[in-house]
Parts: sequence; C-alpha cells; structure tokens
Amino acid sequence: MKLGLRVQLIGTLIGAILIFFAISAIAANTTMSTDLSNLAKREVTSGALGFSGYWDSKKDQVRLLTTQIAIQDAIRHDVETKDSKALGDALSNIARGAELSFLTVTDTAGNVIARANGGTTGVKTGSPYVDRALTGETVSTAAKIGDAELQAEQLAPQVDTDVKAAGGTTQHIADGIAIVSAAPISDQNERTIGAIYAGVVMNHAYDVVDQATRSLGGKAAILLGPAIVASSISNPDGTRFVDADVALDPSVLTGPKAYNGADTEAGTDYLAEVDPILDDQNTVIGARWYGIPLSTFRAIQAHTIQSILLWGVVGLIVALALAIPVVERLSRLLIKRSKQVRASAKELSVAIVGSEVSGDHVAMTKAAVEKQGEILSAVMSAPMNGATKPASLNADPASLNADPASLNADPASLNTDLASLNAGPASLNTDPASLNAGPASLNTDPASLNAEKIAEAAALNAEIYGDVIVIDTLATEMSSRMQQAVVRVNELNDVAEGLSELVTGTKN
Amino acid sequence: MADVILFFSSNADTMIATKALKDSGVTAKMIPKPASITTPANLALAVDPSVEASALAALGKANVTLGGVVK
Repeated sequence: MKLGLRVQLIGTLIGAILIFFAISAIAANTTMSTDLSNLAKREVTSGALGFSGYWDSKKDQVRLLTTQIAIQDAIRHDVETKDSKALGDALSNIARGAELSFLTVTDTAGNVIARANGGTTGVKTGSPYVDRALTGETVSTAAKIGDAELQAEQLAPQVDTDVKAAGGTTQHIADGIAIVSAAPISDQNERTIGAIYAGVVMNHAYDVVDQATRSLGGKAAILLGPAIVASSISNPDGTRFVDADVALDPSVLTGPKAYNGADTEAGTDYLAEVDPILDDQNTVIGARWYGIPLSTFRAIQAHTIQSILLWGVVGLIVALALAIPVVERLSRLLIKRSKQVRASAKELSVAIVGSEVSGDHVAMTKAAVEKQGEILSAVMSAPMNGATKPASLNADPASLNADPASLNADPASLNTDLASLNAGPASLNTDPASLNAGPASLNTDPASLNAEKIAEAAALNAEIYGDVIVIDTLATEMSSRMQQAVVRVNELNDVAEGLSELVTGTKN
Repeated sequence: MADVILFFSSNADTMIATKALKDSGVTAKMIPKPASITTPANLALAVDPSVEASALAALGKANVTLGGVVK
C-alpha cells in the first residue's frame, strides 16, 4: 500500500514523538529507579540511625534515673534502715512516674530489699549488673532478661507470648529484651550500702518504636532473635504486627554488622536496615529493625512515568496541532506545483505532437502536389506525342502558355513551390475551370487530352486545397502552441525554483 | 464508400488523435472541418470506413475524447 506524502510526514512526526517519549520514559524509569533506590537506602540508613538515637536516649534516660534515685536521701535512708515497705512505696511511685518496667533495691549482699512491682524480697536478684553495681560501677546497657528474673519482677505476663514462625510452627518466648541500669547506693561516707537496679522491658512496649515512626516516618521494630517483640508495623487490617518471626535470613540477625536490603513484613515490601543490639560486653542480644515501604518510592516512580507519558500525549497533540497545518500547506503547495507541471507537460506534449503531425501532413501534401504535377505533365505530353496533333493546339500554343499555362508549361513550379500554392489556392480553384473551359481546343479533342486525367487532377487539386487549409490551420495552431510552450517553460522554471526554495528555504 | 469523419472538441485533441491513430497503425487524414459539423475545432479526421472500429478503439485506448462521428 502506497502512503501519501501527507500521511508519511504526519506518521513520521507521530513516530518520532512516540519514540522520543518512549525513550524518555525508559530513561527516566531507569534513572529514577537507581536514584530512588539510592535515596531509599539513604533514608533507611538515616532512619535507622534516628531509631538508634531514640534507643540510646532511652538508655541514657534509664541510666540518669537510676543514678538520681541512688543519691536520693530518702532512698539512702530506707536502704540503711532496710525499710522495705517505705522503700517499696517510694520505688513504685518513681517507677510509675518514670515509666520504668522495674525498679529494685538490694543490700550489699545483693538481696532484694524492695521492688517497685512488689514481689519477693530477701532473695538474690540473679542479675550480674547488680553484682557489678555493688562493686561501685554504674552499669547501663541493653540486656536479655531471663524468665526467672522476669517472674521475680512480676513482668512475665508482659513477655510471655507464642510467636508464629515462618514455617508455621509456634515458638514460646519467655525472655525479655530490656534497657537496664544498675548503680551503687552509698551512704554519707560514700560507702556502698546497696544497689539500685532499674530497667525498661521492650517486649510489647511500643514507646520507642512509635516515637521512631512518628519522628522518622518509617516503621520500626525490636527483634529478640528472629521474633518481633515490639513494632510499629501494621498488619493489612490495621492491627500491630508483633509476635511473629521476621522474614529475613537468621544469619543477618546474629551478625555484628548492620544489614540493609529488601524485606517483606505483614505483606508489605520494605527497604529495611537491621542493626544489632549489643550488650555492654558487645554480645548480640537482639536487633533494631527500621524500614521504609518500597511503595513510597515505587509510587513516586510510577507517578513520574505517568506524568511523562501524560505530558507526552499533550506534547503529541500540540505537535500535531502545529504540524498538521504545515504539512497541509506543504501538501497543497506540492499539489499545486504538480498540477502546474502536469498542465505544462500536456501543453508541451501537444506542441510536440502538433509538430510531428504538421510535418506528416506537409509531407502528405507534398506527395499530393507531386502527384498532381505528374498528372498535369502527362496531360501536357499526351497531345504532343499524338499522331494527329490538333491544329488549334499548334496554332496557338502561346495562348496556353499565357494563361493557365503557367501550370502546364512549368509543372515543376507547382511541385517545387508549395508556398505559391498556399498563397494563392484560389487561382488553382478557379483555374480548373479555365483548364477545362478555357482551352477549348483541349476539350475539342477528348481522345487526345485524356479527360480522366483532368478530372483526377481536379479532384487532387481539391484535396490539396483542403490540405493547404489544414496546413494553414496547423500553422496557426502551432504558432499559438509555441507561444504557450514558452509560457509553460517559464512556468516550469518557476515550479523548479519554488520546489528548490521549499526544500532549501532560500531562493536560487 | 465515403470516409468516416471523426471530430473533436479542439484542434489540440485532433492533433493528439492523429498521433494516437498513427501510433496504432490506423491511417487517418486530417481535413478541414466540414461545415455540417458543429465543434470549436477547425480540423477533423477522415478514416476509411473499414478501419473505423480500430480507430475508435485506438482513441479510447489513448484516452482521447471523441467529439463525434459522421458517416
């Protein structure tokens, strides 16, 4: 199928624009994918750092509270007097106000004098941090707290849970992960009279993760082993995603280095960073998980591509609105020029054909004139060769030569001088009569003059007359055609200049 | 038998017709338009009646518009 120039130009334009926008969209998609991936990594790293800051802030807060409580006179007094009830009440009030999970005071032997949560007194706490505090050290660290210690602090219900593992199995969690601090309690003489031990258990405690989410925008979680024990991640139904194994490979949770990569939790794809939680002995006891939904970045990418394509369509429409009139104008111009060329070619072809036809006709006329000359010559010679020559012909041959005579006496002049025939055909037309009527002496002897030849010559003369008229008409027609041909040639020159200007934009 | 007269709407068409017939091998003679024919052209073509059909076919093939035929 042949396409017109108009369709080809507009099709090429549309094709070029579509290819431009397709390549732009692919380039934008690729570039944005890379850039957004880098941005997401920076965001996650930054968010994880912020989450770590909240964790450390909480640790500092517990440490500060612990050291402040340790130097309160009332606490010192109660420890010295081992007033368990008064001390218990005081610790309970402080713990409630400071949002501590537990707050315990021991004597120098490490036996519990009082606990903020009640519970058993007079027994060892079993915490190594208390032992260290009794040596005068102030300890502040993240710690994994066993079931026995949690039972003693009445915190087992907060921790105990069944975690759904990835394989569908259920694992019971009885340990807790906490931020703890222990400090010595000294008397007025700076002698250690006991120790204070405080902490915030993070299992099912959402202050830190929610604060990180509010401030940093992503999602945060605290892992104990592979189990998520606290998080701000939401399930599809809006509930908190907790007490489930994280979907990451366990090896990334036990290493001392941070992991940064894709992760899917609660059906949502995240770009996540997992930082190990170390105790003060640099032992990995858990992990902080911080992630940003990949949909955030994918939405930006998709929106940008959609915008590019949408603007591409707008650009296409605008380009077509601008291009179609130009293409139309070019097409009309070319059609006009084409018509000019066709008309000129037709005129010139008529001139060429006319020239050829005229030539043929002149040749035919010439042949007719020659034939007539032969007939007349035969007529002239017939009586001369006869046995009995009419006397009248011999008597006055001059009279024949004088009148029509010029025809008979010099037939060659007819054959050689076509112009004279064209100029004065009338004399030829009037002459046959004179030929027939004038030289009566010829008619008087039909046997010798050959009347048939005369009749044939007359008919041929009529034909020659018609031919001359045709030649005259053709000459007039060709004269007009040649003048038009000159005009058409000039017009073709204009067309050529116009087309050249159309292509180059300049006049030659 | 008298020739068949073919006439056209212009002298140019008559010339083109003459050329077309010549190219087709049909003998035609250009003559002054007979007074009985009404057409803007001053010329006409005379062909032998035996070649009329071939002449009309050749003119049709050459896409020459015939003004009329007088027999």
